[in-house]
Amino acid sequence: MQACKCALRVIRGNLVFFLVYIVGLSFMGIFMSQSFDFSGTEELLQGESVEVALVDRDESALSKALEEFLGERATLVQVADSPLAFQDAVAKGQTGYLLVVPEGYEEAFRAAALAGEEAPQMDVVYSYYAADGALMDEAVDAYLSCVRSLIVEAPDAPFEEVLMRTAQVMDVRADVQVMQASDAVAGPDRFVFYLQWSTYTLFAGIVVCIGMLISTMNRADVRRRNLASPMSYASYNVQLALSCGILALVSCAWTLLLGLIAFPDAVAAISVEGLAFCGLAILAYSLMALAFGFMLGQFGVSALMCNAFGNIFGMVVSFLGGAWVPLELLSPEVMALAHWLPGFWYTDACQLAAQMGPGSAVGDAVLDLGVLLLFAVAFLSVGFAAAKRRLQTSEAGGNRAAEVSVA
Amino acid sequence: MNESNACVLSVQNLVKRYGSMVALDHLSMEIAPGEIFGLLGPNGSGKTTAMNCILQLLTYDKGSIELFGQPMSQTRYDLKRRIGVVPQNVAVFEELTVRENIDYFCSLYVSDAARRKQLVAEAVEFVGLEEYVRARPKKLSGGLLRRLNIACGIAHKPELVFFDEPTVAVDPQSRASILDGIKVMNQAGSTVVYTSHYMEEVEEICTRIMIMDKGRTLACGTNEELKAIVAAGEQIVIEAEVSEAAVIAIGKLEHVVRVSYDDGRLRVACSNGQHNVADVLAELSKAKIAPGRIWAEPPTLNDVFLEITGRELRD
Repeated sequence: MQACKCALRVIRGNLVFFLVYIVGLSFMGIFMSQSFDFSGTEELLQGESVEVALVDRDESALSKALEEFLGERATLVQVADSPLAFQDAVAKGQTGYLLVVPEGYEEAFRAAALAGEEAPQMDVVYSYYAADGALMDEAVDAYLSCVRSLIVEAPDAPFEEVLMRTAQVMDVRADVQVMQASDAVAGPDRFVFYLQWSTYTLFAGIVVCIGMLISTMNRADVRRRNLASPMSYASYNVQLALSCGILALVSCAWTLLLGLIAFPDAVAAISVEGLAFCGLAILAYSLMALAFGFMLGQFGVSALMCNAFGNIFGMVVSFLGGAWVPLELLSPEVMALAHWLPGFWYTDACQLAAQMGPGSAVGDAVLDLGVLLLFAVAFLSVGFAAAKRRLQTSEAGGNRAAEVSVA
Repeated sequence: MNESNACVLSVQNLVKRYGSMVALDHLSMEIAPGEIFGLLGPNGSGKTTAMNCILQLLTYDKGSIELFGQPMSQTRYDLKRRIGVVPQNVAVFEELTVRENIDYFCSLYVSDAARRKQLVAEAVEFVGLEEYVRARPKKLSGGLLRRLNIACGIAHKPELVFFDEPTVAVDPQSRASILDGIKVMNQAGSTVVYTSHYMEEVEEICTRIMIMDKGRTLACGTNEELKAIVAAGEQIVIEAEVSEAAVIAIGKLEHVVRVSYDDGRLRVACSNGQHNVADVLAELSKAKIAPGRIWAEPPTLNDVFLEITGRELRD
């Protein structure tokens, strides 16, 4: 196990990569996940209170009813009856909507309604910084429309009764309920987001660390020294693979444990089967990253290039896995492209695992894990092919080296 | 036991080809226990290819290699366990300390931790790196790195050690230290195969020398035996202003093998005549040339190489 121990010492010698990528980025994932609001969607549907002002120059029943109507839907504020005060109130944000009921408005309104003419206009001022004033104006229009309809419907009815019926009509609201979509996860959101963020953490961290390790261990002169020794080539490779596996396992375990500790409530919302599948998904994804790092190392990529590859591909895999932006928001072409990258399958596996209950079907999640492992096998195969080719190159000190030397 | 079995290393008719190019052309050598055997040749002569074939880092087309009287192959780990390799480039891990590096490479040969600890300590002492055991290689100077490279190759006390140009790009003090170390190792019982294109080093430490060029053996023997091959017995050097006619005239003298004039120095290579210096001076006198300093040098391995190939060893 000397080569394995040596490889672990090489990793220790480059511990800064592990600390920056695996530890640092995991904590960033924790902070990111904690900074988002994953609370129930009902709270999100609560409308914000708008501040409105009504300047009543009519002092009529209609103007009083309008004031009452607005008071039920917004916060009424007092504004002096002058053009300068109106401008000030809107400009300084004291009110989002200012309605001026002109003198004789009720009389003119009723006459217009009975005559079938257009209703008289009121002065309205609202801020263009937000849409709340415009929406409130729509509500006032709806109220007046209702009053007008009831006048037309019963021209002889007392106006107080018309206003009372209008108030009753306007009080009828649609019964809104927040429905939980079948594929949505409410409880475990933070933990799932953290796992999705880990697509970048694990990919960049493992690729950089393993790429650096393999390229160090396979440096031409060191490799030749190893090959000239009594240690067999197979034994050397097995020990190297073991050290890579240890690194990937430690990275995977650290990421998972940190998430479990940081989000106990979210974790509690996931079934045991779901948590087990989350663990398998993160393990399969780590093995895929290990295989990619192994492949890079066998191509003789330098530490600097490993950093570049790990980061750039990590971001691409992470983005197209839906870690940063939900894939549903992306175009169908990008969605199709995402299927060709491992991040998509990992994210899907995590989301399926989060919804898993006792006795749930696990077929889709198993498929996701299978695809992730296929990616790992593909990367490893390319890596082994590159390793075989490197044995013959001048850098590896193989036949090609001698050829160059003799030439 | 036949002659081959008495050798530490026996190579017979080794042929290595790259397509139509022949890298090793029926190379043969036999090295007896206790020898410091020098492989001397210009860059590209096939020294490293030969070493790589012996170490089974390269396949070869024809020939046989025996180590300690037994056929060598890639899987003869028992034979590999008895040899050590000091490659031309420093082959250590930057991430490991001096002690960890030596311990790792020693551990490939010696599994017993207690024995290894002792061997590592001895290797550190042997190369004089006691003060640097906790240092990482990047903190070491070029000379100290070379010493670490050697320690990694010899810590397990191999019976046969291959040194592949261990003094390339090394300061004179470290070079002397390395050469002294090789002699000490040899005196302690190790057989050494030493490749170099520095003829002075090979002359200094090797008991037998093989001169190679273009994958072939040009000559093999002790230092004295090789020098006896050449016709030139000595080289007379005279500082003087010499005309071209005088150079031609000196070249026609009976015992003169070669003559050249360069940078105010007349170099006359002579065979073993009785009055070589007197004859050359007489010729100069005839041409009314007053000589400055005069001295004679014995033949070198470069003269041997020049004699055989018609070109300088360092060309």
